[in-house]
Amino acid sequence: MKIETLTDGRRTILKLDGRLDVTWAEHVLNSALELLRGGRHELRMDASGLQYLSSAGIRVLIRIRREVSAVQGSFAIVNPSPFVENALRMSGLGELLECDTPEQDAPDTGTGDVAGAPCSGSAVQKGRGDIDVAGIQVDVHPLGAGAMLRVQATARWRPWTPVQDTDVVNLPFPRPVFGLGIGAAGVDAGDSCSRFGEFAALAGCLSWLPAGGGDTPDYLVEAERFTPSIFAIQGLVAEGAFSHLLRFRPVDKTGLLPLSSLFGQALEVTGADSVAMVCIAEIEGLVGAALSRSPGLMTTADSPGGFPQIRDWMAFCGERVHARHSALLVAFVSRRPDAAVAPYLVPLSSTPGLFAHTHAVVFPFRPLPEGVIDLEPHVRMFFETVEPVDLLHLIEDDRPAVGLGQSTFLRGACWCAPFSAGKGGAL
Amino acid sequence: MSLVIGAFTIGLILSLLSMGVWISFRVLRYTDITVDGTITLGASVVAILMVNGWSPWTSILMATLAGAVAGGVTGVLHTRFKIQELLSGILVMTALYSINLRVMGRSNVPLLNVGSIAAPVARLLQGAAGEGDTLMLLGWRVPLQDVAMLLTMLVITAGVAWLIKAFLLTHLGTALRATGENAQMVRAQGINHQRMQVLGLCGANALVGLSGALLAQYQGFADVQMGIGMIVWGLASIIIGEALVGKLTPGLALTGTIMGTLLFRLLIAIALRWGLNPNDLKLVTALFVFAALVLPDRIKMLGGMLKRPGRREC
Amino acid sequence: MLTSTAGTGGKSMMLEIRGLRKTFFPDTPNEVRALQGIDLDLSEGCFAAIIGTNGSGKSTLLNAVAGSFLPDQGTVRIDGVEITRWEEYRRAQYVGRVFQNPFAGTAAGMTIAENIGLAMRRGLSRGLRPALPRQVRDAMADRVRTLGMGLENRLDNPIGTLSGGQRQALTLLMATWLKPRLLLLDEHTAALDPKSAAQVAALTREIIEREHLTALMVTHSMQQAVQLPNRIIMMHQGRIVRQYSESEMARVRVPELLAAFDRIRRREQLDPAVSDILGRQYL
Ligand SMILES: Nc1ncnc2c1ncn2[C@@H]1O[C@H](COP(=O)(O)OP(=O)(O)OP(=O)(O)O)[C@@H](O)[C@H]1O
Ligand SMILES: [Mg+2]
Repeated sequence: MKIETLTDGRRTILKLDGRLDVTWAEHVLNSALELLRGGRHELRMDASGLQYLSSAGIRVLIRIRREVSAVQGSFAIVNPSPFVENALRMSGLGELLECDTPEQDAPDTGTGDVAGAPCSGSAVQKGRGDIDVAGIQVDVHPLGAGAMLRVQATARWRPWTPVQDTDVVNLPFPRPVFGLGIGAAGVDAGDSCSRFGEFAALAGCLSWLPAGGGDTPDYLVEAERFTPSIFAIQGLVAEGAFSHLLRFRPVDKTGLLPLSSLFGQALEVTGADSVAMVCIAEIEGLVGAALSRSPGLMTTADSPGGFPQIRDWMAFCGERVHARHSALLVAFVSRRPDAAVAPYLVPLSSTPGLFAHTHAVVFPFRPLPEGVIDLEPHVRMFFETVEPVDLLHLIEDDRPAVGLGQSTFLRGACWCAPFSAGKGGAL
Repeated sequence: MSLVIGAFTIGLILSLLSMGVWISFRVLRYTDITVDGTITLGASVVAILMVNGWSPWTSILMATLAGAVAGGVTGVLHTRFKIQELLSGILVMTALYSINLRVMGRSNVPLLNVGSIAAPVARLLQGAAGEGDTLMLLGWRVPLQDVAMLLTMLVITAGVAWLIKAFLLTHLGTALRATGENAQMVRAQGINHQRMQVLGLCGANALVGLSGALLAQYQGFADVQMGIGMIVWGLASIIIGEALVGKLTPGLALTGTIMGTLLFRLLIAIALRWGLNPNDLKLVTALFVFAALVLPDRIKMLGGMLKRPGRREC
Repeated sequence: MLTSTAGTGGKSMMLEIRGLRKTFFPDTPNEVRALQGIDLDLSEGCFAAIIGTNGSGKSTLLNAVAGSFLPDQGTVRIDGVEITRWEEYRRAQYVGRVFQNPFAGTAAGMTIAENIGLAMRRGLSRGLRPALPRQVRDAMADRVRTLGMGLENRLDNPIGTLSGGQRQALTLLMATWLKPRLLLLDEHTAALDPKSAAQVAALTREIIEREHLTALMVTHSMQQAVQLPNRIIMMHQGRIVRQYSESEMARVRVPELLAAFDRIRRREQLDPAVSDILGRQYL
């Protein structure tokens, strides 16, 4: 099997030569996904050289079509041999053949990659898009003028004091609410106490890493009358509307967006001192840590903050992790944190004067459509099609020489808004 | 003819030594050089006992036991006191030099006017062949005593060889062989491999002691110098034997060792007859063993070198 | 007379290890703390796999049980009998072993039959009876036939002429010829090609199940670790860091084991400097 990639305007043509059977299925799939990853959403498969198509190959074509339609791209097969055409029609996939899909010339599906194009009507803050970060193009899409978030610290345990019963708060996360903290979902507070770990919640989806339990995060997704909730000992919760959507992507091979730059962009765009955000992004590398043992198990004799005891309580990533995966981020950033949230934001060593708290839920990579997109369906798509593989509290590793630096991203979407801190207590 | 008979008799006697060396070097894979001392020990024990009126057979038994003890000491030095195998052999061999002098009281004990183990056979022969102390053999007239000695040694050596072979096929014998092959495996099978080493060395040196005892009887004297270089002779015989019949089974290897010893003695007898200086004998033997150890590899390498360009042509 | 079986009745432990410690080259710059306090119980019929990073002390643990050296501290009991100070050869009456190196478990120059003959008296006295009388050889051929390798026709060939896989299969058969109270397998498929390794692994499972053996197997193959045994013991730096019980084994898959290793590796990375960062940046 030989795969050749040709570019024809917005379209990318994959020219296949050989047999598409079980041996080559994975390779073809990965080649297509690689193109999607690179932002090529209009795919054509030139099947003129395709001698054979097995059912494993057909499954791959279906999978490609699903991934492409998830990003509102298009996918079709051109120049099929009679054998391939017949095989497709027999398996009810006739519509994959280009002749059956009337060509739509107008770029009205899957918005183009002309920056700012979708922002008709609102004041596009042009120029701001290509500033600041070398190699990264940032497009700003205002969503609602003056939109504001209300943020509360609803559970207020801080390391490392033994957890009291009164520290545990049951936090619901209906769709409009997002947040992060430490907790565990379970039958009741007592049941959860041995599993408290990092959590992040957004768009009616809640994911947490049970400390000391498995190695993978667990999750809950909102359904008809079910609202995910978690027994939290620490929680920053935001509610309200987003004011801006930032879309960022690399314009050259070196383009990388460090998390602190994303924070800077968000602060600048909103013109506020404090911003809360959620983000879906392709990871270049994450640096973080997570609880490996529930603070609920702490006794007064333990001092998890010190070395080497901390090894029993916390896990550090040890290297830059999860490259080429997708992350769902929940972050709170401030230049001047209000007293109500200040204890839960830490100074960034890379950017003096900035305080933040960020959790990342890591998933296998999924592409995102271009332009203005809605948060909810895309977040849900992650939970419904793939499962979270990790959850980290992001940190900046500023050790001299061996430090891992901070988390960086390649492309993604970031919804943000200024926030004001409300008084603590139940929402 | 008497040259041949003499060579064969000595060959048979030294076959016992070769078998001893074979057990330590080949079966146990233990570089045991106690042998040079043990053969003299066997000779001196037998000489002094017979001079003092012991019967030839009991004297031989005692000499054999003395050899076993010497081997046992080497084994214990190595296993219990963790002394390297070569060094423990050297220690015992050196100590034996003084012990042998002590046993004999001087450096040479002649065995005159004492009984011979060949006496019963000689009587038998005399009865069969009639009068006189010579015998017609294949048209040659040979001394009857010599033939009796040859036959006696033949019986002893064959008997001992058969016993060894039978032993090596018993449970204990297979354990002994495995000890030399793979000590780790032997321990995993519940065998005390150190005890096996000691046992093997006892057996090997018992054979050497026996060989020394018979040699002293045949030569008619024991000499404190007689052991020097014996180990190399033993090795040379084993190598010849392996070249002759291989070493696939213990039976074959033992047969080979005996045949090798006989052939080697014959070659030496012929060489001496042709005028080889007896003083050069040990040098020649050493050179022979060296060649036998090194040449096979060299020949293979040479063969490989010759073959390679040939292949390229086709 | 040989054995004083722990007459406890009910659930007695076939292997009991308590506080086992071993340090090589103590008090020198090369000091290696190979075992740092191992506690381990195997009940009768339990088949446990030991996995762990290189140098984590897996082989050392097996060797300590087999008696290749004496531990600095701690006790080892097999079937209730304390054997901590026993010599290696003496333990062989209880313990069958297969080594990583196919050459280690057999005597290459001796025939298949002779090797098996040695194994037939593992831990028993060895007298001056012939090792291989007729009827023994027939019984031997029957049992070798179960390997399905055609070796029953080659009983008189030197074992050194066999392939690594065949030798390892034979070594396994030899180690279990007399039912051992404990079977120790140290990466016994690691030196084989994939096909032979699979064959020997299948044979291992079959024999252990059929004879209801208690076994401890070191392996680097995660696949084997999740498929063969009914327990997994994970070691790191001379300690047991994680165990997967029989009930957990039903769901444990390779990725989970890899993730567990990853966590162990990460734990190492958490040095005092990182601890300091977490002190500043973790809430
Ligand atoms: N006989 C010995 N003498 C000195 N050091 C030893 C000895 N045996 C093991 N060690 C050391 O003890 C440590 C543990 O070794 P061990 O062989 O038990 O590791 P392992 O877990 O079996 O590793 P591998 O997966 O590489 O086989 C290593 O650092 C090793 O160098
Ligand atoms: Mg090992």
